[in-house]
Amino acid sequence: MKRTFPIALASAVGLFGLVQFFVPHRALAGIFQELNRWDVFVYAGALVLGTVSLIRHHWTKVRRRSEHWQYSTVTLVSLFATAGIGLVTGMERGTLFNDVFVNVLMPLEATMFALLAFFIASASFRAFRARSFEATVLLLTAVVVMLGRVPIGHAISDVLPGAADWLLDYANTAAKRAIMIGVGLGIASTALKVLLGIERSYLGEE
Amino acid sequence: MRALLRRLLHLDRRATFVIVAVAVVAPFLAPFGLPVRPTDPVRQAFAAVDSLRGGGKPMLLSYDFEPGAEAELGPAARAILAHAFSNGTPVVVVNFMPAGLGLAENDLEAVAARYGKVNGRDYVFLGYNPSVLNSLLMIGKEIRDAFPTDSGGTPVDEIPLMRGIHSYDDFGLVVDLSSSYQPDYFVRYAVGRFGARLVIGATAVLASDYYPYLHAGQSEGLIGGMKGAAEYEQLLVDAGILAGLAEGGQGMDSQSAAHVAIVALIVLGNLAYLLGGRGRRAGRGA
Amino acid sequence: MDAVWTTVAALLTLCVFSFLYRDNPLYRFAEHLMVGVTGGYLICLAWFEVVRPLVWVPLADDPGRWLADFQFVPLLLLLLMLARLGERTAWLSRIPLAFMVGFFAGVQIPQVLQADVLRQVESTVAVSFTGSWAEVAGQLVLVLGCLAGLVYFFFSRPHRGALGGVARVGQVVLMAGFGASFGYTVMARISLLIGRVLFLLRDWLGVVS
Repeated sequence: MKRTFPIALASAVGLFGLVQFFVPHRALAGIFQELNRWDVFVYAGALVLGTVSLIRHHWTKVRRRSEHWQYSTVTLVSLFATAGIGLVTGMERGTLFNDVFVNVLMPLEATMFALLAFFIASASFRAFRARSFEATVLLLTAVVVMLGRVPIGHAISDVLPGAADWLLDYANTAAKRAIMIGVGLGIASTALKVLLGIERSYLGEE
Repeated sequence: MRALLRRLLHLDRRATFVIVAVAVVAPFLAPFGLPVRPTDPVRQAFAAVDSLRGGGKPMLLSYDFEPGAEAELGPAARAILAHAFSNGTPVVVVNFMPAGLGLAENDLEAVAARYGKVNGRDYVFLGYNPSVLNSLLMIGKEIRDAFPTDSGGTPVDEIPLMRGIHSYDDFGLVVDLSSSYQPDYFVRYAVGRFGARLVIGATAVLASDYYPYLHAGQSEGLIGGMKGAAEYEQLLVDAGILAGLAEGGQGMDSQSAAHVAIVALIVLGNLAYLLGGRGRRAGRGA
Repeated sequence: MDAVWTTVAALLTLCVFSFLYRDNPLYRFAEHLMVGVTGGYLICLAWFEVVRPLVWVPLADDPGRWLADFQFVPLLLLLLMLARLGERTAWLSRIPLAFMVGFFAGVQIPQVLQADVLRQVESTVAVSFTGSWAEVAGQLVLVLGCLAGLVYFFFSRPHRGALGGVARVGQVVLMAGFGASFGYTVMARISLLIGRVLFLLRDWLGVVS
């Protein structure tokens, strides 16, 4: 029952979603719209769940005085402070909450991602090797796109930007299209397995 | 010579960090001002937004990126908003990425103020919905089911701009600026199921993956990363809408220098590898 | 006040950049601060943008409507998701998950096949082979490369003989695609760094206009 009902529910709801595509009758369209609205509540629940899990994880670390528990204190204090400010002042532009978003969250998150620029340069120098014919093709394509797609490409040679465009429009499109078709068929077959109750990994362990 | 090349292979990675840092910072202090030349995918995106000129059907703009991608898509978003506002095109903004909400609100109000646009009349921000799939399907029938209020809590029926707007048929164009998988959903549902017109703005990481959609006509244009934003800004300058390049274009000298530096590092690394005596040994590497 | 906030943002930026030298307490502080502020942001987002308009306001306006027309079902789905927090009640969260996964699966099948398979096949077959020699060569690469790439992904038979030859061509085309992706990925990462450098030089230090 604990697994059978969810599997049956997934099949029923999924089959309805599939059938509705082919039978756009007004009554079915109305039910479909309502099911869409209900589905949003599941995502809302996931959002709340994620936040509560985050608090629980760090609270456990603080309570048990685990390694680096002091940093978990920073997390919890900043979490409740931000939430408190936001719930009191609102989230609009001009509020203290918005100042925290623009001057704390934005720079922190943006800089975390900016670190990747250094690591990709280092990794390119240390590991990007023309060891085989295929690797050489990859390397040459990458170099042409890297130089041809920026303004300096024109300054180096008029051929570079055209070559980069050609590679993107034809070779890259061919490759990505093959991947897209393969992945599309894979998504459709996995979705079909969910509808037939064969794919059950979303239920978790017994 | 071989010893030097072998030492180069074991260079401290912090040396490469310094090279990249210098390549990025130096052009800001001593810019070389290389011209930005728009490419066809961005020209097509520009033409699609321009086709709404004259205050006809509004544009639906989806802000689906977070602060981690702001440097790439923020300039494109502001350029598109400037383009729409200067053309008199109303803009309806939605958001499906959590931290994108704050970015959308800040950008929208800042650009709207510059063009004297009024919230509720010339633009509206309908806020965040946690499910892009369900929202795109609901907008096909009635947008109020996905977004019953605007971001401030005002019921959509009380917003003058939203009168008569119910589904994709009431929008002239859909623009999705995304750092994640949202464009795939827009193509499958907004375009595939409901026949909407779509322009995709994506981070450069994902932009090359959307060329098949561009070539199949499922997307009318593609703006890729900060370079795409710079090209869009250049088109706005050419059209007399912007006086000069903004953040997208400002970064292009650094982009060029950094790319040259990384290509040089790759070539150097391969030379060191091949000439340093490791070229013929299988399974060895840095 | 703006200058104070800008300085805060700049110092936090430098804390994160300090990781480039080595892992250190300043970086860890910044990292955990980011997680905490993000969590607080999500709480506010969940309340103002999701729970309040979808649940609280409708419930406060007209509590009776939740019993009419099955309107209690979405609220039940939300509460069942939260059941995951309890060890003995966690299994209840399978119900809303099954609803979501089933719906997603059913809706995806026709749309994925239409947009990602049929439309792409149509676009590949409908190539016109007109234009300059570079364009015609490109269109040939587009058609044959796509076919060869698909053959490469066919693993039900060993890649030997003619099949192996075509798969090898497909592999080369795929490498070209991945090279383009790598080039664009480098561009993306550098762009993100440029954004931070522009902030530090323009907004904080004022050395760039």
